[in-house]
Amino acid sequence: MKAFLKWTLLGVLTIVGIFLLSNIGTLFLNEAPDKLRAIASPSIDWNAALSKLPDVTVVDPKSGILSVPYGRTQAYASQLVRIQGIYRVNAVPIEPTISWQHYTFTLKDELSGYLRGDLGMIRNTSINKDIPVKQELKAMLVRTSAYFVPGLLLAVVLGVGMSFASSLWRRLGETMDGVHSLLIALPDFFLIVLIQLAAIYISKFTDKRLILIVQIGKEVPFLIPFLTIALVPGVLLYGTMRLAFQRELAQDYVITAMAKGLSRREVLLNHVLRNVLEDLLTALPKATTLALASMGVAEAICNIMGLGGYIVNPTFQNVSAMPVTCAILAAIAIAFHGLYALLRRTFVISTKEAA
Amino acid sequence: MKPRATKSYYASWAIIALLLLVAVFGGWLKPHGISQQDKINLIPTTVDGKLKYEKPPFPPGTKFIFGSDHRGFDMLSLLLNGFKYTMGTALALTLLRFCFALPWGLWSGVTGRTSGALRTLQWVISAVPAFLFLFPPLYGMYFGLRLNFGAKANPQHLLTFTVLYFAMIAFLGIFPLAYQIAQRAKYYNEKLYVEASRLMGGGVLHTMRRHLMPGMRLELMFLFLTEFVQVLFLIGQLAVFHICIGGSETLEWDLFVDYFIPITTTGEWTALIAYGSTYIRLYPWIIISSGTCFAAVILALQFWIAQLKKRYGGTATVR
Repeated sequence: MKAFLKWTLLGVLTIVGIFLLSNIGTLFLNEAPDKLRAIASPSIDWNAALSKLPDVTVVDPKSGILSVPYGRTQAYASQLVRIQGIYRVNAVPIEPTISWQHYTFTLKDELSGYLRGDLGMIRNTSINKDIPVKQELKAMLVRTSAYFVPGLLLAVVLGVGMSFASSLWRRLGETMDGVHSLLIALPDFFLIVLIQLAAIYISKFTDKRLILIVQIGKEVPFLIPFLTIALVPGVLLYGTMRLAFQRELAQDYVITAMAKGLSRREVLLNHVLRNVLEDLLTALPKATTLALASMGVAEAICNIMGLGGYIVNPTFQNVSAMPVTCAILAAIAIAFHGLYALLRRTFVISTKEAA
Repeated sequence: MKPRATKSYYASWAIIALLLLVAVFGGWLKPHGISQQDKINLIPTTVDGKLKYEKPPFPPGTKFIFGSDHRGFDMLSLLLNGFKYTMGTALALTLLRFCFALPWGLWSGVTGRTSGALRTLQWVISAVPAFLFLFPPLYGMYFGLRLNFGAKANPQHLLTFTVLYFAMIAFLGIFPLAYQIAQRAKYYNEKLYVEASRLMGGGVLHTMRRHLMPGMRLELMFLFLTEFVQVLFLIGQLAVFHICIGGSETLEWDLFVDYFIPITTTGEWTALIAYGSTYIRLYPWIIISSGTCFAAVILALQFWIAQLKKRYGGTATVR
């Protein structure tokens, strides 16, 4: 119970840390946080125009510089532009500076927003519209899970299955070890690029759009992120399990079993497999972290509006939603680690010497 | 007794030597220039007897083997020139990580202190993808300091960003590395000869310097090389998210209104990957050439590490 509480607290602190880090952008100020420049008609009566916005005051009527409450420039800009006589409202650029005041103000503002149920906005630059992230959250998670979960499962099946087969048939083992050495050296983004290029050339050759390479409207690519998430951690799991199988096959009990007439397949299935389970459960956390990183890269390259894509894709400029999406992704990663810890506790028998 | 050197072993050394030569002399070896006066706007070509003008980026051909970028700069020349910056960045990051992780790991392994903290911090860093720690603050900093203005950005801000980029990437890797070193140091620390040295009055520093370091030297070397490859992977991943360092310029592309293309001025490889990933459908040769060279270097390093491990076994041999 104590260990459970300790690791839960650690998980929560990690998510809080990521939340704080993801707001670091607000530490760097390059626009005045309490001023706006309104481009208005020369004959505008500022007092009349701003009568409905008592918090806004005119600093310089000639250049149209207005003072707004601290940190509320975006909210007041959208209100001011609706006033007759005001054509456009811009931020006032300043020399980039570090502002802890702005950082702490943003943190407090976001936290109070979360308590009200406001999780922030996402700006899609292609349609130039701000969307509440709460509206998109369910779709985002479903979109990402559609290829992440099957991809990760396939990675486990491939990793364990291929290492089992490689231990069973020597020739296959030699070939797979060579393929493994090649794949482990390939960066995940390059793998995605190769799959995308293959998809482009297949489409050109067949004159049909067989494999979608970017998200178009609601049509989301599946094969590219799925293959990336399956291959990258799958290669890691293959390497780990291959070593585990080789280690166990060199043990005395295996040699004894084979000497007694059991076939290699029987020994692997009935004796070795259960003993390498611990290695699998030890490697799974790292494989999952790799899978999540590959997912982020795949969503960035394929322009997918998934959980990772919203964080890293410049098309979806996170107006205020980046901390939430980062925290959600971190929570998912930590939840997986918790699941594997639980599985290790359930299925792995730890043996200690008696005192 | 170490096994005899094989042809593969010598081949791996030859490849590494070649890479070092390219890193040092790449700037002189490049076939075309990459300065302002080398920019190409249009190339006249004759198609079916008619004179036509081609605008860059040019596809791979006889003049530009790997094609060109939007400025008409030869991709091969950019890659040759930028190789040293990429390798230098990765090497600096790896060295920075080792500077902190090695003494901490050794000390923790010998004394047993801070092992809990190391284990916890190692778990925190490994539980979550690295880009979650690095991308949001670096992205925010990049736009906050107006570095997206390319050559017009304030050089002091660019320096601040570069320093923080190095600091953050190095910092993130210290804990898992220190934890690994601590685990190995603990293993060697429990050996009888180390225990004997302690009983004879050997202190922590003496144990670290005289017993652990010589015993772990091969493992540390392999760890360094593996860490170097991991750093290359990480900076490549950040490049796909358009976070990279080095000089860049912003090209105004006249085919579209208000369309600017940020491109590296030095040919730094991660910046080329960032630039190429945006145009994978229109100009695939940019990402293919930079990505292939990046992957080839990592393959060469992995091959070299594998050959070294085969020859030297990964642990110090008793003479």
